[in-house]
Amino acid sequence: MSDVSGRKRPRPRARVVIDPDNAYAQLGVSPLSSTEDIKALLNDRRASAIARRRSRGQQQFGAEEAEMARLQKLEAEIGTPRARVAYDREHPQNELLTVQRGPGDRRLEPRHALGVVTAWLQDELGSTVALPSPDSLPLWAPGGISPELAGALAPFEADAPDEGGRTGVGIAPGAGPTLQGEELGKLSGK
Amino acid sequence: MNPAHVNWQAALAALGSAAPGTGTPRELVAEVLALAARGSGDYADAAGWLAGAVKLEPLNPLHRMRVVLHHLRFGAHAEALSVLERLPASVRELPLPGYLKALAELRGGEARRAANIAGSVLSLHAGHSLARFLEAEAQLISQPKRIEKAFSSLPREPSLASLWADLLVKALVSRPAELLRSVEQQLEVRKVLPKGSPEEALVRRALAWSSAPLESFEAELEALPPGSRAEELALLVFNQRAATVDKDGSRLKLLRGLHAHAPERKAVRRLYVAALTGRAVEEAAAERYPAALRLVEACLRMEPHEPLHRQNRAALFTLMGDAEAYHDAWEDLERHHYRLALLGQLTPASALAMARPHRMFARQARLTPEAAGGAPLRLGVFRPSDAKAGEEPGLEVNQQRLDTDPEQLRQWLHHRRAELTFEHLALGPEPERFLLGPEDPRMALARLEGLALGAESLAVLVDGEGRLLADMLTGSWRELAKDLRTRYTREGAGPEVQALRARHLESFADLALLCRAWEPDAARPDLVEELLEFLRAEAPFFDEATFAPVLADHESPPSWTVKVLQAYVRHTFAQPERELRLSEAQRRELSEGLAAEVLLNLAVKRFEAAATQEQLEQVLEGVDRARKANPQSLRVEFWAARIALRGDYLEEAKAALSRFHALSHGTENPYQRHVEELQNHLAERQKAAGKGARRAGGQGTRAGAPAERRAEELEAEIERLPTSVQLYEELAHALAASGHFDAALEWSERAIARCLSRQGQLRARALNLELLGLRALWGPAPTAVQLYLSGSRGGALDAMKGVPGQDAPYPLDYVRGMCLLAARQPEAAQASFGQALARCERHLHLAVLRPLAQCVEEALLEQLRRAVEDALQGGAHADALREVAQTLPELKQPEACLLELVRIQLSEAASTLGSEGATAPLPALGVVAPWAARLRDAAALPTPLARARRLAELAAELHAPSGRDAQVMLRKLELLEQKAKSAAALAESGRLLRQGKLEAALAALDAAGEGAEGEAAILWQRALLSLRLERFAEADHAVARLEHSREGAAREWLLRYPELAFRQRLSVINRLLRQDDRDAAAELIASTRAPGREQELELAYCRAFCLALKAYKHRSEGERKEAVAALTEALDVVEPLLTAARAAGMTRLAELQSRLDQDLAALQEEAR
Repeated sequence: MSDVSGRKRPRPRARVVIDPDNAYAQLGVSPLSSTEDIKALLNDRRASAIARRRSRGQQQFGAEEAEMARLQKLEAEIGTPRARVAYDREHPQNELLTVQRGPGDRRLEPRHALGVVTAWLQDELGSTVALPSPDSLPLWAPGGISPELAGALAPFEADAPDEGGRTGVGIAPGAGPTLQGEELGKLSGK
Repeated sequence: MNPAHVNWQAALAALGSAAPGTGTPRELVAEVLALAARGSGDYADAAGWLAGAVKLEPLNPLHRMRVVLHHLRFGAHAEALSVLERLPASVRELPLPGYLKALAELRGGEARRAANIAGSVLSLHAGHSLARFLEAEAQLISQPKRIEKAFSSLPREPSLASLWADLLVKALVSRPAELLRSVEQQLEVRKVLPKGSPEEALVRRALAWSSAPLESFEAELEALPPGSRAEELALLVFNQRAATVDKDGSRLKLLRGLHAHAPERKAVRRLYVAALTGRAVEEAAAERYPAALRLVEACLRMEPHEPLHRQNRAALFTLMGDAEAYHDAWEDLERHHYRLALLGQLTPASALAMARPHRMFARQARLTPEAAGGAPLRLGVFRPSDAKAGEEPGLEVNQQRLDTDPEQLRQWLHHRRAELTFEHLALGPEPERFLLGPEDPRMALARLEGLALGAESLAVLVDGEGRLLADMLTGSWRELAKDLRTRYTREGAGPEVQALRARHLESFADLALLCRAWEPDAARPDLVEELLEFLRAEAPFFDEATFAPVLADHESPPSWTVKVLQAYVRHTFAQPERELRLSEAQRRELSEGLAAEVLLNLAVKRFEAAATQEQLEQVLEGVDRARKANPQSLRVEFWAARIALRGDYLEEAKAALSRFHALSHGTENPYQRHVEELQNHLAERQKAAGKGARRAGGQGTRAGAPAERRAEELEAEIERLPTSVQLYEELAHALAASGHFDAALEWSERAIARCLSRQGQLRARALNLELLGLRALWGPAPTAVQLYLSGSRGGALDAMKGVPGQDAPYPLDYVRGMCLLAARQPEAAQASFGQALARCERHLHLAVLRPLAQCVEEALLEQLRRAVEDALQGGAHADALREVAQTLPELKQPEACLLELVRIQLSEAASTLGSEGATAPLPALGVVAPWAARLRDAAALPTPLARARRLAELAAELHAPSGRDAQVMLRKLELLEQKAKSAAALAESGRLLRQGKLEAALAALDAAGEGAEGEAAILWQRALLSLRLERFAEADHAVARLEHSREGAAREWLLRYPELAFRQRLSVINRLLRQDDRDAAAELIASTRAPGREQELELAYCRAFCLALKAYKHRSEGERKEAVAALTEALDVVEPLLTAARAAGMTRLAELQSRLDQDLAALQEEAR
């Protein structure tokens, strides 16, 4: 193994800079914009170029055609989620040099907030009630749990064994239903 | 029953198999699999179980709906929609698929589309309440003004209370100011929720959050448990309300107040930090960077663990142009990344995130972007070359920039290496994948070393943490790569692997251009060393097969340097047209050649600057290194002569010129004219000064020294194992493959001197003979030599067709004979060996040639043994059998290869252990011998073990020299048979266990026999079953025997056992206490040991509980004194542990203590 002790982090005089020709700058959007917004902007620009071309009449290749070709190139680079992932991976500086919100801040968006409402109700009311949630039992078993299935699952409820190893021999999780102080009363006949 | 309380893992283990004979109905198994998926937090596990349900009941559409729900649970909306699209039209018309589609669209952010789909469902199924409420929710987002109308059209039924509660709270969260009244009206006037119902209470709680004064919201928060969903929701309502009234930063003030009041609440802190970050984004967008920086620093103080704040700070310093702070900030971010990685937060996704800053730096150091307006900055390692009209613009080394800012080169080198390191990590822990599909373990090892070398850059970039991370990664890679095996086919790699291969190719191409064109600063040899280090790290990943896909990729055109490299490789190896395919030796030659170029470039620059004799000697040392890397370079020898001449090292100059002439073979070359001048100059100087000076440090010009690193490794191995003829063979072949025949022969002679066993001596002499033959072949047919050394001896025969046989040196006849043997022409081979024997001039080769000239049988057998061994290493039993079947009819004594058949059967038996055991019988073996019928009988036996036994007995009986080996194999057979028996016993035990027959499952293990008593798997199964049967002593006994096991899994099981045993014991104790069997419980408690702190608390709880029961019993029988004593004892058990219980969040212990305390007081009162 090489000996790197004594070598310092490189600190060249030239600093990193944003490429003024990057796809986002060319389109005039933030690298943090959503792909839907970018797509919508591309469509608007394209529609406007087509309109200008129509009003100009069928002449030779002009600025509008060049604009459309440019838009097409931008679309190929950042116009779809897949292309954008590849572009951003190749050009990380656009995003890295943009001051941005944290990934957790999305939790404040209304779409997420509505999801929290359903999750809260599910916590409070249990997942067996009907709610617009993919966890809701009525969606998984619209007809309810059949008596046969309930019977088969009964041994595995609460203090049923869980997997104890690769052999599949079940060993009790925790202590089954844990003993509670109130049981003392019942057991002692109090 | 409540599915949330079901232990799905256990249910699956017991019921989740529809194996015939288990008795579980197929529909039931499918239901268990499907509902287990709902309870799983693992996407892949759940998907697998659902696939199992669909397979069992392919016609049940509900399972497909569950697949949709499964995707939605993990936020995979597109996948959910895709499943729905593929449903048959008749199923799509059902209400549930339509509803799920609307739900998927809504969760995917398409509220308007979701409303339309829900509307369509309602047009066909008007009574579908779920769809009605979903439509209203979608309208709440897309057309909020219509929501009040939607409220009035929704049905009011108690069964719909949960849906009403959901909709009303969502209205409050999304538009607290506008819809507060409307929600109150639904509750008070329309009474959509039953009075006193839990749903009503929940909506009222949300109403309270929506109407509480913002300035004193902390009062609302106090009632909510920290970290709860309720807290999260209340804060969302608060945030929404604060945002609507935000004036001059009032929202920030409110949040600051809330945070100051409850600094321990993480949710409040997150909300405050999110608001600060949002403001920083706005400030940065307005180019008020110092203000943005202040806000980001505040975030960082509150959330020092969050990498994004450090990234934002680094971005701001970059935008502000503060040079030192900019470097420090990015280093700080990387340090933070490395710390997270050291703490275990290293997933493929996080590795990709960690690669990004490195990629940014490497990319910019390589080629800086053009400035706005098109004026070239040209600050990178490369710069665009000035293309002539009609030519493709290319890249060239930015010599001027590298001279003025050499740190730019280091930035590229180290950040590129770090980027590649993290990209390898992003491929996951599978060695085959993260080593990019190496062809064999040797290549894997080389790549592993390359990776380890690359990771060294982490230590350069981030002092301290980088060193630790590099060491950690190297250790884990080496551990993972231990299991890598030889592959005989190259499987198609995924896009990520291909992409990384392409990145390596680009790096290698950049390095190649630098090595060839960069003129290093004579005062900075350290830069060359760093460059060479990168080259060494990259060389094992150079894969010329990647050229074609990279050059054909139209979406991301290849780098200019890749094209240059391809042309260079084609030129170097004279392959102008056909597909590039280099041998390992050629790849090594390429990278060593590049190293030689840059070393020589440095030497030339230092030569130009050298003023003293000592400096010239140092320059010559550099030339020696270049020569060692590439002993075939004319350029090296030319410069060696020139430098030596200037330093008056006339003998060295003479030697260099002589090597130059030997290498050039008199062909035209660009140095010819200068060499002639040097020659004349040397002659004049020799006349005047004779031999000239000698280097003070000694001459380092040993020509023909093995340059290859692999050769050096082998040399080191030979030092450790000097009698291993195999190592000599490998080393000599490696040297011969790169044309170093003299050195190869030297090693073969050493082997003759050192490997003195009969077999070793024969192989060493054969090696010597073979190398002499190959050296004779090298001149007329170098391709034949390469083919021969790569293992394709049959192919070599074709390549040596033009080489005359008559008057050829006898070792060449030997090589030809070996090729003929490989091509299955034994008679011609024997004739060739005979010819070699007739002309043999060296006594030591006679021992090799004589038996071959008499009979090639042994040579054929040896060849077969190697082929079988190779095939078995890759698990290719059919290939091994094919080899035997082809060789058998060619042998005069076919019984000699019966042992090979045994070996194949043993390998097959080992690989099928635990399965049914029967495999296809052996193919017809064309043997003409009196024992052919017995061979047929053996071959027809049903299992490989039975066949192996019969064949081994046959070999021992028919072929005396095989007798000893046959006995060894019979012993191996016995071991394998025992293992097979154990596997069958385990399988039977497992089957009985699934049927719930625990006793029988335990008894079935006895069928493994006494020989299996020490086997870890049997002992473990026995221990677990004994635990289940509550035979704790037996379980402990089985586990105690595990301690003597050498099997790897035993250690893991030993570690897990105390926890498992404790759980089972605790379960039984609980049951006994509930049954009021105090004595049995007390006995079990006394014999139970807690493996950890938490378990100790649980055990103490049970002990106190048991004592309390005893006390109550005494009291009921009027024995107050005994009752007081028992309660006091119970309290003595509990009280010392109260602090620990509180710290562990176990409130039950404190509750029990309080209860016991009260009871004791009451008892004492009664007693008074």
